[in-house]
Amino acid sequence: MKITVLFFGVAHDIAGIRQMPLELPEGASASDLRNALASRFSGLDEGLAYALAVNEKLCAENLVLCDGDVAAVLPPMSGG
Amino acid sequence: MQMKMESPNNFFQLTLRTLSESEARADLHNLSCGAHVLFVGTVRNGSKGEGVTHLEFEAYEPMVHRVLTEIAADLRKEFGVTGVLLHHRIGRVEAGEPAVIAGISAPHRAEAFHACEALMNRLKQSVPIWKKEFTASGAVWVSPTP
Repeated sequence: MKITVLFFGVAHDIAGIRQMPLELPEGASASDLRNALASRFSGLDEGLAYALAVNEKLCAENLVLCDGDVAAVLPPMSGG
Repeated sequence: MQMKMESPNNFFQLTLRTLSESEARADLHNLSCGAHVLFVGTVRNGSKGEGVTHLEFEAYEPMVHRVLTEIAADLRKEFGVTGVLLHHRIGRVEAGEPAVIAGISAPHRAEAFHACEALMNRLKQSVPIWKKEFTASGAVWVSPTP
């Protein structure tokens, strides 16, 4: 399946891109996505505590992803 | 303007424009409410002993709308308030400029004050907006503050 991944804040700087398509095996979870991102961007595996959102909602690590989902890498927020 | 989302008694904006207190007051005005509280957060010209020239904000705009709508519903349940307003800058904001206006209308002042503080706290905790601070020595993404 193919999903889209969005990067914000410091995660955008680490990845060097704002978004990318990503192929994942059928049945992959948010945790699998986290591992796939860590293997591609070492900076995302080195202590950056980020949350994942899928289709604009924060998700649990065991959430099963679907083709066409939009995932977002959300570092600690700092609005205001 | 990037995003203006208004439904009855919710007034949310993410904007590249300078924020306007008078516009916020006008949005929030409600004849059934005796209390209208506005908080204006401005960009300080220094942080940790170093001069700050400006900030840059970015936001995950569709998710901002979703989260703010949830926060507004929670504030109504918890405090019984009427109007909930959040106008937030995105892009570059110079020192001295307002970066955020939070506002609450309510029948009485106590719940309006408390809900406005809660709105700012929840903004910082859970609304997907990030700021980068620019000083003479470089730029850094700001860590969350209480």
